[in-house]
Amino acid sequence: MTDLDDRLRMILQDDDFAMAGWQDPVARVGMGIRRRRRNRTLAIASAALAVAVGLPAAILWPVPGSDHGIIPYGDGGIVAAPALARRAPRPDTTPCEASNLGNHRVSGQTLYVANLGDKRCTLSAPATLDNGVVAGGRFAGDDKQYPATIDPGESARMDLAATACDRETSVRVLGVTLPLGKTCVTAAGAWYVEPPLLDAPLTVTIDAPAAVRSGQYFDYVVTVLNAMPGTFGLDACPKYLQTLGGSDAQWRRLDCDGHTSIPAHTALRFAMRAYVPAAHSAGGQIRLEWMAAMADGTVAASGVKLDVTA
Amino acid sequence: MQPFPGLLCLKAMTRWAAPEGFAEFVRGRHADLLRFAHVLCGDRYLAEDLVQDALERAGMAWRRIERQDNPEGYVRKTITNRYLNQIRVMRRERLTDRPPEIGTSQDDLPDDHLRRLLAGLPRQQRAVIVLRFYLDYSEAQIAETLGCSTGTVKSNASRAMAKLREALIPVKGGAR
Repeated sequence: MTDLDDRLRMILQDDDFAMAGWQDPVARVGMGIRRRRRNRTLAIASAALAVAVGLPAAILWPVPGSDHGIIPYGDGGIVAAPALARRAPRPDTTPCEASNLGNHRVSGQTLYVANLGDKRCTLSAPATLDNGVVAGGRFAGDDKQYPATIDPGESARMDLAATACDRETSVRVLGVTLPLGKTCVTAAGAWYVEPPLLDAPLTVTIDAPAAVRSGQYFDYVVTVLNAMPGTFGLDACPKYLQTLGGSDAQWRRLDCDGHTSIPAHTALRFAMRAYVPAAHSAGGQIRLEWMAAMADGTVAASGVKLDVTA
Repeated sequence: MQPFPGLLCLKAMTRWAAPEGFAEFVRGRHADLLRFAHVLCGDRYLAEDLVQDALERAGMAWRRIERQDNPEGYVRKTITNRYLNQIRVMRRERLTDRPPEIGTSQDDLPDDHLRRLLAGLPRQQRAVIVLRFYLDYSEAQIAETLGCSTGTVKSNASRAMAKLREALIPVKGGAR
């Protein structure tokens, strides 16, 4: 026992720490206990109410991604391609400069050249092929906007009527020579842009099997979610385009099962079916694209890659 | 006017009458518990809050506590743990008409310096010192009360005593 031990004992036993007792300690503590019991009862009642109301609501509420309410697959038949809404034509602006043109390439029957500058510009300058043919005129297609007003990084396009040949050819625009490779061009159109489609305010997701068999049908589910705070009206049930591996596809009528709108924060789910052409060999991948066109021409689309097995 | 039936139901569910054993315990022991809490935390208002809180908890589970045959130990343990763990939650501003404490000279209270050192110890160390020198608990009892190992109790006690000794040396040497 040390001196410090004794001093600590003395201090802690000192009367300075003595406190007067409460006048009616039982009533005082009892009041607190009643308050605690009341709070506990209220908490239990609230929890029970939340479960009683929330559980049925959770079960009955259509949850995107669940198996609840999938509209069965039905072939609505082939329909005419709808008119799709696209970005409005841009007004002409400052002509593009030769120093800002680059990254040119030929893909199929189309020549692309990009705006490498930092400002939007309009490419309407005449182009001349090395065989003396002057590019101009308009090829068929409703999606083209002339002249080509292009943002930084965006490409202008030129349609070519060409065949493969054994000599290098080129086209000259604004004094710049753009090689075309071994392509003999007999005619070329004016510069244009193909404006992007306008999106409907819907989100499309595809639930498809990871692997599909070549030469067989497979089923998948498309979820069209309205994540916006307002109801999305379906004046007419949308038409849809299903493309597998870039194959030619045709527009078909979707079966909306009587739904005339998609309420806010809810989804419609559609069972779909697709056929994997036997030409797709096992071991590769194939891309499934799905796009719905609304009555106003806006679209909602998505795509997934699938493995092809034997 | 007839009260709302839901309120009557709530009132019936929250009705509580103190069991005789609990009422007797509170009447007989609350003053000692207040003193213990005051020694532990050094603040008489916080001590009242700690004891009130611990007794309310004990009252809610009195039958179970009574069966364990050491209700006072249970309440002291609750007070200690509430002091160590939830002191910040319970602390709130309190208006008082009492003037602030008036300082006293060391000549009047020779152990005032030690008292201040004790108050300045970390809560865990102070709790170990109080349980050891106020309640004369063994290391095992302290460990059981605090819910830690005896090794932790030893190290806390050792650190606390070392701090107190170190701080007291200048006083003994007459430097202060």
